[in-house]
Amino acid sequence: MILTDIQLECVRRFISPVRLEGLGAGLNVLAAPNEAGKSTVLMALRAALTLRHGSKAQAVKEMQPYGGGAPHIGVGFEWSGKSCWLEKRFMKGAFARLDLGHERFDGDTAEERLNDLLELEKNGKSEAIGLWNALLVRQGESFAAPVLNNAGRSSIQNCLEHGVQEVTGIAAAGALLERVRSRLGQLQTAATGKPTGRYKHLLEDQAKAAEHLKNLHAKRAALEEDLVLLGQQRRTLREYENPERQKQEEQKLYQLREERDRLRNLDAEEKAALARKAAAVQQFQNIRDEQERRQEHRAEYARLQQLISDSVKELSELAAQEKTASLRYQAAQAACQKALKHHQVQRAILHHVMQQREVQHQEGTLLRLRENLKHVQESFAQIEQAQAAFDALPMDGVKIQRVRKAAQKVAMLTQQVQAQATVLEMELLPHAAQRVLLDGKPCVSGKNLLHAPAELHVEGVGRFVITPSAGGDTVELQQELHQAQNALTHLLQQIGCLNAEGAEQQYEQHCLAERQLKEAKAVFAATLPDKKGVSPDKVLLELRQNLAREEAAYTQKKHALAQNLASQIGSAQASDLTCLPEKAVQQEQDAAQEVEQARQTEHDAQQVLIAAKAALDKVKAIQQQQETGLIRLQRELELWQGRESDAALLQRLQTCAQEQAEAQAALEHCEQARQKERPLAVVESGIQRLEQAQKTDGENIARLREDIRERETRVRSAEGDGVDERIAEADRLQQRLNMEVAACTRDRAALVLLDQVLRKAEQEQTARYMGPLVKTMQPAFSALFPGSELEMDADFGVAALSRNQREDVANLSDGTREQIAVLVRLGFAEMLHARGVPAILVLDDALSFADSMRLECLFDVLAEAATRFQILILTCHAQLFAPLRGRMLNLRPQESFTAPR
Amino acid sequence: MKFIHTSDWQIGKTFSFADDDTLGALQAARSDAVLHIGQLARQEGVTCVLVAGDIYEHETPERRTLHQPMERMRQFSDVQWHLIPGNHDADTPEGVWARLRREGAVPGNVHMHTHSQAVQIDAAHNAWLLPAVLKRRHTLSDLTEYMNDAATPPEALRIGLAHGSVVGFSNGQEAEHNPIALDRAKQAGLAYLGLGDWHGFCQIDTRTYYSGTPETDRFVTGGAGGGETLVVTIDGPCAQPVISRHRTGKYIWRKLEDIVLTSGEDIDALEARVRHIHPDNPSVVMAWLEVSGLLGVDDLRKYESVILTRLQSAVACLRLTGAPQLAAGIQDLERLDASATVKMAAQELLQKVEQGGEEGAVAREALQRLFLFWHEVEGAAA
Repeated sequence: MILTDIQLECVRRFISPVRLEGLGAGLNVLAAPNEAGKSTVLMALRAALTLRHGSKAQAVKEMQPYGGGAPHIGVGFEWSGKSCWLEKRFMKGAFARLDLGHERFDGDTAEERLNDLLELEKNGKSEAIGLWNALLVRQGESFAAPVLNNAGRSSIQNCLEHGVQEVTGIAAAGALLERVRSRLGQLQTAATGKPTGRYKHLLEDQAKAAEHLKNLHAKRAALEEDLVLLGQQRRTLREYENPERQKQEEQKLYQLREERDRLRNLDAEEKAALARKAAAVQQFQNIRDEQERRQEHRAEYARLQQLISDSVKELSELAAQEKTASLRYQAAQAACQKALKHHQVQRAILHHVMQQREVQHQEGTLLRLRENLKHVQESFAQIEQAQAAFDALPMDGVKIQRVRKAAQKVAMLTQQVQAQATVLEMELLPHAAQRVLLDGKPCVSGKNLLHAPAELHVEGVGRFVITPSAGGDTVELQQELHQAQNALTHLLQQIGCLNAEGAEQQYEQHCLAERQLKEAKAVFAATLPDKKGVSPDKVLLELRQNLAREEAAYTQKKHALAQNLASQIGSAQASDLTCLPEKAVQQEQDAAQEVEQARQTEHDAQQVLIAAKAALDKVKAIQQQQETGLIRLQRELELWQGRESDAALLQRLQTCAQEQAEAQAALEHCEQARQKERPLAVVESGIQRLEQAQKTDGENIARLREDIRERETRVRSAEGDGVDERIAEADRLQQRLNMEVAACTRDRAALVLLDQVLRKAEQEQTARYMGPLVKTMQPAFSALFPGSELEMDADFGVAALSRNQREDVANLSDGTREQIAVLVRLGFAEMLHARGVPAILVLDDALSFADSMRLECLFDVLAEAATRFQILILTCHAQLFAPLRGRMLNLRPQESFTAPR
Repeated sequence: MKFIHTSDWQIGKTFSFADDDTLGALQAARSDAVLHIGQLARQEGVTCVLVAGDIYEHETPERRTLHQPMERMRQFSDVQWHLIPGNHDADTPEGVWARLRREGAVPGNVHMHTHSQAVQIDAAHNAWLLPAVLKRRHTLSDLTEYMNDAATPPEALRIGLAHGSVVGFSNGQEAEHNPIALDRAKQAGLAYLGLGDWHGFCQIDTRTYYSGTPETDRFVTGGAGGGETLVVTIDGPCAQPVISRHRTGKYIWRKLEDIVLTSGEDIDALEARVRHIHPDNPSVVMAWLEVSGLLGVDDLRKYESVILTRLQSAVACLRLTGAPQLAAGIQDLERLDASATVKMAAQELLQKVEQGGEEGAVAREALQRLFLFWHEVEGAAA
């Protein structure tokens, strides 16, 4: 099939007729810029071949230009050496026409014939589909492997089956597989194979039913247990409440209690006999003890008497020793007193001598202090004089400065006033002196300065008024001068001077007095170098106080010495009192040594006396103790005898022995009686057991009644639920569910197996008939990917390329995947062509991502394929596809749509 | 004297093989059997109905199940109902009878005999009932033994009523429990000994009978099958009882064993056989078919159509054990010639079937479905 002409009108941007010129066998290239209408041409071609003319589907509406219109498409082609023409108008005035050589088909017939020719199948009312959908590759579709619709699959399968000359029936297997999967999908999920739908619900119900049944059985078991225990408890209760049994137990208890009482009496008798016997034994022993005690007392009495007589002798010897020691001690004491007194006198003498020496020393010190004070007082008097002279002067440095300053100001102002004053210079004759009066005063020759209007009276001449010039600052100067003079005068008055010279003289006197004061102070300070910086007044006062203290101390000391002499050493000789201190010290030390010796002697005597006294006291105490013991023994013996004589005691001893024998006899009697009876503990234990049993029976009866009530309540609750009936029902449900689950499981297993087997068969068959497809495609792939082998999948796509190693197509680059997709489409076209079915390949804007090497190879592959069937390339990259050397096509506007005649 | 002898009502019984609808119908039929007995009593002019145990199926029935038969009997106030416990509803301390008494649910015309002692039931005929009372589900002693010595007035009509197995009459396990002496009627001087426990009518001797259940509840009941109630007529203490059997059951239970299907004709025959059980009203037929055999692809489709669809809809319940297997061979694969792929799959399955075992069984089912789907695909294509 070779397209020779394509015309379109009212298709999207082509409202007016346009024609694709230059179409012919082999490679055809329509290279035009973007939005030139390339894709519209492809759209029109697809519409003409696959859309039914009567369709008003969206695809048809999309072809309409803006503003509406009836898309009109004509396709001229050659087929089997015949010129053919396909023309369709859609929407308004829709029609279809197919000319195959001289044959013409119109309307639906034309559509059917076209579908037959191109192996298309109707897909609804609007369109037909087939492998051609994969051959007319729209913009962007070239990147993906062609997705085949059923008709496309069928078409390629037909090609393949035709090729292998064998009916494979894959489509039928597919339909069967679809049913299997549909049925299987009702039982398990497609993705995970987990139970779903009814099967899942059945499994869940089965689990629930099993759980429910288990619970019911548990309930039933609990009920049965309750029933069994209820029976047991009722029987036990009846047994407990049996009156005959209770009566027997009461009787038994009564007998045991009687036995216990008997045994208790026997016990009491035995205890009494034992007590009697014990009392007799004890009394017997007591009497024996009493006898022994009396014997011992008598022996002790004799011994004490002997000891007392020995003590009396020893006592007299010790008293003599004590007396001698006492005398010796008294003599030692007297000697010691004497030595002490002598030592005291010697100490007083020593003290007096030392005191006396100290008084003499104080006397010397006093003389020095007085002398010093005298010098100081003299220096202080000089200071006072200088100070008085200094203080008498009113002038000081400040004042003289102020006077000097005021005098300078007066002088300066005077000079200024004089400089501005009117000078009246007169030279008077000597006789005229009294005749000329200035301001009433006689004038003298010389210059007179006039500061104010002055009246000059010249006798005999007349009166002249001289008025100084009033200009400038004369008046102010005069005022200032006057003020300065007043200030100077005031200052001078304050310091008591008449003028500035007087002030200067006074200042000189001030300076002199100040110097004299300083000198006096320096002399004072030199007198007391350790009191430097202290005020002379204070120093003087301190010196006076110090002297007064020394004097007072001296007086006191002297007085004390006199008193001491009178009181302590009045008897001493005058030579001793005036001796040297060293001698006095020696005498005192000698006396002290004598005292020490006397004391030692006294101490020794005292010790001897104490020892003698102690020995005497000890013997006295022992004797006293012995005498007391003797008295006590005598008293006790008398008391005992008075209470019970020895004879009576002996009589009582015999009576006790008799009582002891009687008690022993009673005990033996009890023992004999006891041997015939059971032990009391056993009897009491029996009673206790029976009493406890009665008590426990009561508690058990109450507990049993309570338990029985509880169990009856539970049993009635359970029986109200109809446990058995519910178990039967649950069991029935369980069995039914088990059967249904088993059926579903069988069904599922069978379907899974069927699915596996069918898929396996389909894959094997696919692999078998894929052979020709691979064979067809392999040369192109080898050209583009040297040394590669193709691996096709069941959907007629390339699953992988094997170049040294297997590579999944999904992992290849976008450009390579596009190239593979184009080669696959090329293969499809080859298959159709080989089977004699019309085939062309149209690529819109494809292969833009191929590198130059690949593109070159692809051009070779396309050029080679184009020798067998027509290939139409639509591109905006004219330069890129120039090396293809294909027929260059043009879109040329037409005046009108021109169908071939 | 004329009275009715019945037993084994077993109200509340469930049937594990039945679906919910069938179960409801069967249980309703059991309950309705009491009505039928009451109506029979009126119809026969009988005022005394003796029920020989197993009134209830379960020891602890639901409240409604417990009260339902009592209320049915209450409807027939002119009929005196005498009941004894059976092994299913023994008179245990907390059993159904205690419950009924406790709840005051027993109508005045219903007499529960729970003590083994003679009780006068018909003064006019001087008829005395000697009930044997089961105090637990199973006993190893003969509870009817006391009847030998039970005192009744002279010339009294002594009627024994017991639930158990007659010793020496059955070889089954049941004979070990609740035994009853074979000649108890003779030993105890009974005019009639009405027994329960067997679900099919059964005559032991001239005075001893099992009435069977009034509504059949098993495919294998023993005896002459259930669904009957006995009307007993005794003219005097020494007279032979006259028994008349009356059908009170609704459903007909049949089990057809060892059905081997190998062809389409077998299928037709099976259908005819089942329908013949009650040609006028197959909807009361409960059929249990034990089916096996090998069928070809077409016959298998026929089996599904005739038996599994048509016949199952016609009867009350069609219980099936086993199924005919697909007998697909090489020749059957020829019908798959249209698709070599499908044929290849079928061949593989056939090989697995021939290998047998569990996998073979699954493969057989898979092959069966393959043919079924193929048929559907072809049908759709056509």
